[in-house]
Amino acid sequence: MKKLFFSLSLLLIGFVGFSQSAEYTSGMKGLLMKMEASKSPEALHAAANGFERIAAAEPKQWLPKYYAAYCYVMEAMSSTDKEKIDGIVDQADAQLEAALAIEKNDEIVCLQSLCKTARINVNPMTRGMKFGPQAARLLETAGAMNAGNPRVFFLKGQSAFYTPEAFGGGKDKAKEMFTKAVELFKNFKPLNDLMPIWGADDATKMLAECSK
Amino acid sequence: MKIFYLFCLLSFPIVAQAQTTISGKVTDTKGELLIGVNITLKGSYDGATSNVKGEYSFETSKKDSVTISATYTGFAAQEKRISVNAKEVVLNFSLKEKINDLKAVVISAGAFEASDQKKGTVLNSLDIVTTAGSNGDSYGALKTLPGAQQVNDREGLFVRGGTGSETQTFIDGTWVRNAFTASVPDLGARGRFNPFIFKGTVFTTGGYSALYGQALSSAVILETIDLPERSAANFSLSSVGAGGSYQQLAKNKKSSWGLGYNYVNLTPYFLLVKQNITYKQAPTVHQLDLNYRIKTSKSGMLKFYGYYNQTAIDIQRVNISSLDYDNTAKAYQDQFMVKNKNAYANFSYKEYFKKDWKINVGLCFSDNVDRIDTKILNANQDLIADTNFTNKEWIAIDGHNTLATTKVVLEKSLNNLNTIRFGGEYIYGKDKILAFPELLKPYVEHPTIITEEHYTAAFAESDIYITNDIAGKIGVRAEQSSILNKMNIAPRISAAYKLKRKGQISLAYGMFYQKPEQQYLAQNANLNYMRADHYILNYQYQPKDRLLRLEAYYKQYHNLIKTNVSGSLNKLANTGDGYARGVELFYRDKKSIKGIDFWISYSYLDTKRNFLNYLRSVQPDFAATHTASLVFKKFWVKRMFGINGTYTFSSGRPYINYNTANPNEPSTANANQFMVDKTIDFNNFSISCNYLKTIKKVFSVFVLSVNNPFGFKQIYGYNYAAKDLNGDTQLYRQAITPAAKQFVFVGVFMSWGIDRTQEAIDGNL
Repeated sequence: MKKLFFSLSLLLIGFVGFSQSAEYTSGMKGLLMKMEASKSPEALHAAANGFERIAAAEPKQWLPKYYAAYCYVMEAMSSTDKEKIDGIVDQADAQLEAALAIEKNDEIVCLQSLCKTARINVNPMTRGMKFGPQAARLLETAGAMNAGNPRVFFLKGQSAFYTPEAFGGGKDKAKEMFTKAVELFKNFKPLNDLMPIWGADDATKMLAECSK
Repeated sequence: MKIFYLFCLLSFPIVAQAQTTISGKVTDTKGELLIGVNITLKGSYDGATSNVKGEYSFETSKKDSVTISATYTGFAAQEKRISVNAKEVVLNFSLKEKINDLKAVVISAGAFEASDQKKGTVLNSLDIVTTAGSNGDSYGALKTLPGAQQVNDREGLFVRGGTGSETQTFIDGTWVRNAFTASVPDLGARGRFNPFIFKGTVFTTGGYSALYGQALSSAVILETIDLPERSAANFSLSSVGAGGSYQQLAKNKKSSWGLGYNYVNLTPYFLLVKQNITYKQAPTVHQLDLNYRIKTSKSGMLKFYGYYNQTAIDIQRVNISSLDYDNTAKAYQDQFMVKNKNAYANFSYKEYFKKDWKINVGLCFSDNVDRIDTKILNANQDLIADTNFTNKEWIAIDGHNTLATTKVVLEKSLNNLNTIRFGGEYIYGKDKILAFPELLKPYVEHPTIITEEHYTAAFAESDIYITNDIAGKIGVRAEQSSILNKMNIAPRISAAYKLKRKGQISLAYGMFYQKPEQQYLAQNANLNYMRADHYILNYQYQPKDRLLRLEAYYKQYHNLIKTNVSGSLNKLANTGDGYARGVELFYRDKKSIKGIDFWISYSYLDTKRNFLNYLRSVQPDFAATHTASLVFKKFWVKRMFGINGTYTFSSGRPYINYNTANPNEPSTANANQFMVDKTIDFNNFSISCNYLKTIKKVFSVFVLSVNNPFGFKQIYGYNYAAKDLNGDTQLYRQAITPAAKQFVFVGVFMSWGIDRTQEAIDGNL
């Protein structure tokens, strides 16, 4: 009886654990598909909300927070109202801070860099001087944590592409970075199918743009 | 088998559970739809986001009692406990907006702010340095804003019918006594500070905070930058001089220091471009800057900024009285020489403490030495000692002023942005004036006049936010001056109300006191504070990339200084008065003309005052009825090339016609004729071009700017002969104009950024 009870409880725990993880995986996958399809700021905001709901229910997972932040950054980047950018990026930063408290990894730092870049868009002339170097520094940190992260090179390429040559950017520099990114993306195998994979298509597109 | 059964039993309810649809509408407390609100069934993944109609809907398999939350940035989260046993549940939310600084109304009456971080600002820090015609002088850029007058022939910023000395400058909270460089009469003066060291500028045209005092009209509040982003070396070379600086950021990014030297010498420029006055020594400036900034804790910051500046100018102009005597042959020269040494040190410290307390401490020292010498010389450069040729009281002055300032502000943040601020200020000033008064006995010393002043002030202020749409500020300031031996109490009140659709209304009222200028204080008369009362009404409308500001004001002056008061021991008394009122418009647009950012300012000013030696209450000679500016900026990102232009207009200013109503001879002057004449209208256009280029990792900016390329005739007023020497009953006069019609500036600014990124990473990992 004792044995049965023991195995039953083991099974129950296993079952609960399994079902939760299955629910987590399917919930996340569903949202990731929704995120991929989201182009408008409103749709991205709704996707971010979805990830925030999972993040609240799964306080030990960093990925829902990471994706919520990713959606917010994308929302900020696609927002036409520059006055709203800071408020949205604040939300992304808060999610990334919380994600870092769970696990310190290069993907999160990479996204932190993107947050700084998003803030430049409010006024490139005055903010570039401040947030540009901060974004670059975070990318260097992410690269140092994982030299094989293609997104580091993709983001480096993007910032070089949009930074005028006079300020240390330019197409040539961007091309170098995108080439490296594309190469790394080819061999990039995410740990599991929930891990970040974004950037591959855009890197290829941007590389073509640089070669024009 | 049993286990399998159990398993089935356990999983069955999950599969078989009936779904419940939860839907509803989300609005704010005013009934406005809210889009993007996150609706969550707590503890589950279930939920939805409100759509453009403010509606949401989702399904859940949960049963019985659940908690649904609605969260949205800027609003207080709301939770509702409901039962979800029915097939459909309708649940509406009405969220209350939180008071937060992203949305709260900003009191805009009387204040123009240039900042990169704060919202609702009119300009950013780059605007200050890229405004054509400002020539890298912060005050030059502020002159394109409404309220400021186009007074280019005198020192100071003239605001809303106020004199230049009614505008005072504050750096990191503390008062700066000698904010302008040494200058010669009729040629104006520049600000002493490098505009690049400031991250924020507030230009108030009235109604400013109780934290500041001793400025009747306007306060220019400057905030120095914190730590730089990286180490850098800079070098500049231009048609007026050369300079270099170095800024180092520590490896741990917690401190930085910087050193700069700038040398200005206009001799080569004046050799190329003829000036209408003779320079024995063209303006020569040595400026040394120092800064040190350190983070004393996670939230604490200590900053030091200091400079030493040495200026020398020596000019000769034709003596007007000698022209009256014989306007061809006997052209005597007026020599005016000024040598100035100025040292300034500013320490500021801020720190946040537990329970939302914050402290700001400012400590400032300055030392200023002026040596001014005026002479009348004949064609052989021999000294002429004949009082017929001048009405100047002094022929030479040695002046020395020392100042020590300390200011402490404590701030307590309450909830909902409500804040209480209070503190005190103490200023010690010592002035020495050694004058050589008599022209006929040159360089006979007059006793040195020493004045000492202990000035103390206490102030308290409170920010009150009722909602995001209604805010107010109430403050009071009390001041005591030892030299006047009098105290004053000045209340300040302002409020703002946000209207629908990006518009807002602000009001401000305040009483402002200022001590008479040093030259009057030194005469040891029984003087009092001068006073101005401000009433301001402001409307601001700020849609995307556009801004419209309308402001109306009324300013009443009391106790202004009158000179030549009969019966008074020193001929000085606080018996003057006046008023200023007007309407101002500011419109900035970055959107309507693609790629062009422009602003328009217009000021209508109606002012009269009776002060100094005025014979009656008149529009003063520094006030123009209409002033307008158009500033535009265009930058081609691909070419890295920019053009900035500024056009300014100002209607004619009154001037004293000594032939009709001479205030120096009040007994015979016809007061009705006093200051009825006006100069011609003033027009100016400035253009500057910038080209940015990185040459071998050196970031370079090439600048070409031209002031008044079209050669508009500019007259600021007239100088008159001291005496009618040729007996034609007319005093000879000469127009006050700039020293040359045009001014051309060519320069290159280079910057080597020293990238310490790798070190930063090593430190962070």
